Amino acid sequence: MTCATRSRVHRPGAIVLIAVAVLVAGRVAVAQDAARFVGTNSCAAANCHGGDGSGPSWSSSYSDWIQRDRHARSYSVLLGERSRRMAAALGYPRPAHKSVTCLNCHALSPTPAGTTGHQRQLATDGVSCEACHGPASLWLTRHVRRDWPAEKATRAKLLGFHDTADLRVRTRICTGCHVGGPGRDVNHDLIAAGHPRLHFEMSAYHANLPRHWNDTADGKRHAGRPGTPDGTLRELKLWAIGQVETLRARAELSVWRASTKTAPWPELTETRCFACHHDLRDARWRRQMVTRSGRRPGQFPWAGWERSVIGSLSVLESTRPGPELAEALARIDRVTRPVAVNRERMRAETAVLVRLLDSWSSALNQHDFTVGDLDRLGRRLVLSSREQPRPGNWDQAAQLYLALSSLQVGQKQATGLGDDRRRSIDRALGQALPRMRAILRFPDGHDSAAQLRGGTAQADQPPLALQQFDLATQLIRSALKDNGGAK
Amino acid sequence: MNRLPSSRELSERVEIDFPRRRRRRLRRRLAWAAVLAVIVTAVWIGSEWRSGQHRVFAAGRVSTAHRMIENDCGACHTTWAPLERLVNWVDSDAIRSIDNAKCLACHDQALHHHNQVPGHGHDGLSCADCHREHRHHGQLARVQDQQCLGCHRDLTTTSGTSRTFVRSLTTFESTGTHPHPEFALKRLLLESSGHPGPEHGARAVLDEDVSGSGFRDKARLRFNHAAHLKVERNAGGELVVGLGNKDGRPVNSSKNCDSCHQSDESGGYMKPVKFEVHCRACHPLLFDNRNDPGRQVPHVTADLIRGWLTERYTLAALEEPRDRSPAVGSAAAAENSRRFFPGRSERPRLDPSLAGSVLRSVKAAEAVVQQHVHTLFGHEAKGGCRYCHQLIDSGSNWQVEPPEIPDRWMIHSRFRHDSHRLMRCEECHGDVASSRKTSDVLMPTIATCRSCHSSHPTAKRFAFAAVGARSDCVECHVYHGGEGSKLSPVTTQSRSAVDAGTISRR
Repeated sequence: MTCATRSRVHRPGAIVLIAVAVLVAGRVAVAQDAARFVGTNSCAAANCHGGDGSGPSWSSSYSDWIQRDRHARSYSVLLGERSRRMAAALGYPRPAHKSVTCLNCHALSPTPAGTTGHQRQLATDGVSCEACHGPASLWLTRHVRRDWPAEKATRAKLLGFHDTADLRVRTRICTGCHVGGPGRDVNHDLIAAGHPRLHFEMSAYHANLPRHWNDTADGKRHAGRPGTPDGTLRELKLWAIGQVETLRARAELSVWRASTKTAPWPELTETRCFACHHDLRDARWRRQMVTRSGRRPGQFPWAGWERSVIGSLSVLESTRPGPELAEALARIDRVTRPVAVNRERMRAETAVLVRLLDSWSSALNQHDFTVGDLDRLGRRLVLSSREQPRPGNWDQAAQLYLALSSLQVGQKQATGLGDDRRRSIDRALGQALPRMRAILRFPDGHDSAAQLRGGTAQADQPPLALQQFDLATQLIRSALKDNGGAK
Repeated sequence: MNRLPSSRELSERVEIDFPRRRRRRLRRRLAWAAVLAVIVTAVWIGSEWRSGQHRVFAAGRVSTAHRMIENDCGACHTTWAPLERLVNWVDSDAIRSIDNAKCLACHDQALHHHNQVPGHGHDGLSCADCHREHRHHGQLARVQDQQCLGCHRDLTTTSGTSRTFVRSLTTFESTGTHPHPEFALKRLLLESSGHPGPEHGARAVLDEDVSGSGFRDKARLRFNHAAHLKVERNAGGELVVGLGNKDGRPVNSSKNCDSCHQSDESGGYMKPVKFEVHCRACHPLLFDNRNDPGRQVPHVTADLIRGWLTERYTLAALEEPRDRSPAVGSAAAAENSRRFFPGRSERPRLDPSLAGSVLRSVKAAEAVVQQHVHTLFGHEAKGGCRYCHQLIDSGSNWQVEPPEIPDRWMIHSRFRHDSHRLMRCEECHGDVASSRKTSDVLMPTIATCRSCHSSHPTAKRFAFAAVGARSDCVECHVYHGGEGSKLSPVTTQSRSAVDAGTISRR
């Protein structure tokens, strides 16, 4: 509130001072301290972003958001029956739409509604423009000027503008809520009270976000080397950066959880849901799962969802992280082996991991993706190896499906290269993905993958559904193998 | 020379002490014979007893249903009554060798009427008072009319004279001092004298007309028997009038009554007519024949129809290509390629802008489904709620008035259709072919029954039959099974349209 008051005075001198401080600190977060949210009213003018869809896509981005984007309804979710029950179950003193814990992600500003009309609007608009593009008080007037592209390139951070053209920045904006981070923590308490589980995959989430930008131009921007069809590799890059950034955000969340004394510990969402939750009818299922994973009962994997397919990224040789990453992960596995995880050690190890992943995602962002990467990654995903074993549970199978469906987008575009081989791969993907999708679907009336837990006769055999999943993978595997020699 | 014996001599031939002499030998023989007889009898009885044959002790054979317990006296008898009666030398009815509890062990039955005056005995009626056993009667339930008339000759209830039923009754025949009156149902309808009391079952199936001009069928449903049975042929025997088929041609619609009225499993009564089975083929419930030809709404309540329609149109809206929804900018293309995310509901969300159009479609379909006339077969087919039902019309909240069709009409008696299978339906339900209104109650009068059920039947079905069908009380009436009986066959249910699509049981 103090920064809002201060900024309202709006002295240029103050801004310069803050900008200097930002430079010294070198962090985006500091810029946000200086900048403040202005709300959607300024964006929504009919001549700006509130157009009727007849102009270029930027001219109707507000209209697109308010009509089609579910982010626009994120605040009103808090007024619903489920949210009311959740707040009651969690023992919050205020209803969900006034609780900071909820508003941290469900609204632009965590300021509880009710103080001023402006503040109320910031909350009630939900996840609006500035939630992703950055607080606009410093760049609102600048971003319509002719020299904005140049200024944006150099001073975006200072002004609090998030340059979403950069896929890494784009991903990090999403993971901020969809994975969580300091203060934005969907922990086991929230899930137990009724919050849906968070499992994020950038490429699929991005594909499902209603477009309020020129997607063709975005595809061109990340086209990769000249000669590859537009947009072929954007999806691949987005998926790769998404994988690393998701794990990074996950590690950062763990750092925060381990270092925040008020946060619950041990935190059960540090592992997979189905590591503990299981069908009581079939006791064998859990024993088998533990046996197959090589863990002992009582040991839980850390970040099961996020680490499912990340090993396959090692095929991108130029970006491949050094052995420190594998060591850091191994150390975390050792730390998380006992149920009572040591908080201090966990904090230290995950902090190391955050640094390593930071540099990895930065390298991926610089990486010049090629069509060859597409093939190599595809092969690594479906041919089981030490880095990328065959999926042993629903999380891993779902991640594999998402990875392959991202690759499919690239493959489809790449068939334009007129290659028979690509057509057969595309055909195999077209056959296999719907089958996988049917296996991964939660059965009617279930909110979990009950069919993936079915017991099998042999303890070392995966459930029948996973065996079927592997059969579907076989289609892609043989299509890739047939032409494995040709690079 | 022979001399005639003197009178003394003659008198001496008579052994004067003979009668006084003890005839030991004879007596001994007789005594032995008697002892032997007793022994033989005892041995016979003993052997009968040993072999389990107790019929030897019974006055007569028991009824057919009780044959299985004929040898188990203790199944019914509680005391050795004959000896007791002999010793006490009193009227046989006063001393009972049967306890009602013994009967109720097998026969869980309610009594006649809650307000009946106990007729006999000290503590109410005994079962055995009416059901006389050991009399060679095959059927114990077929009690003599005398048993009934004991009370019904001059019917008194706990609250005085009966107001529900006729007071004096002596015979079913029309000739007699106190004949059986016309059926109460008919008395109400025909405005004949002597309306039954307000508690009579006939009142449950009839409504007093609002105008006060009499009684009418309670059912809130339009049905025309005559129209459904009408058939006319020309001189060449060709069908010229009848219900139309799919081609619009007349068919022989003088369908037998059993096209709609089918007997239940027991064969006794008629099953309710069901819309789905008997009506839908000709009276479709179309709602959107242009877009969804031939599709019909289920025959359920208005609320359920509305829900059914809403679901249908919502799903249809969701299945439509998404680019038909109002798109802004270039976003439509991206929307079409929505990617599946494992673990998320795959059902697409309904665009709020589509909700309005769904609602409009539902409203339009609701309006259509109420209409009288639909085009189905290329000609107009009569269908829709209004065609048969009365609607409680309050705009968007319309409801169908429950039809309330009685399952049974004469609920104080019993009837078996299968026993009357030799007859044609219209012999009893005579006016069917000319009945145009629902309010025509097509039940026979008592005269129709008497034409056969009488000792002087007017309709002699068989030349060799000297008398008519039986006309004793229990032929139609059951003593037990009045109010509160488990086996009560008499309740009239009010059925709503949703309730199995019942139409009628006549």
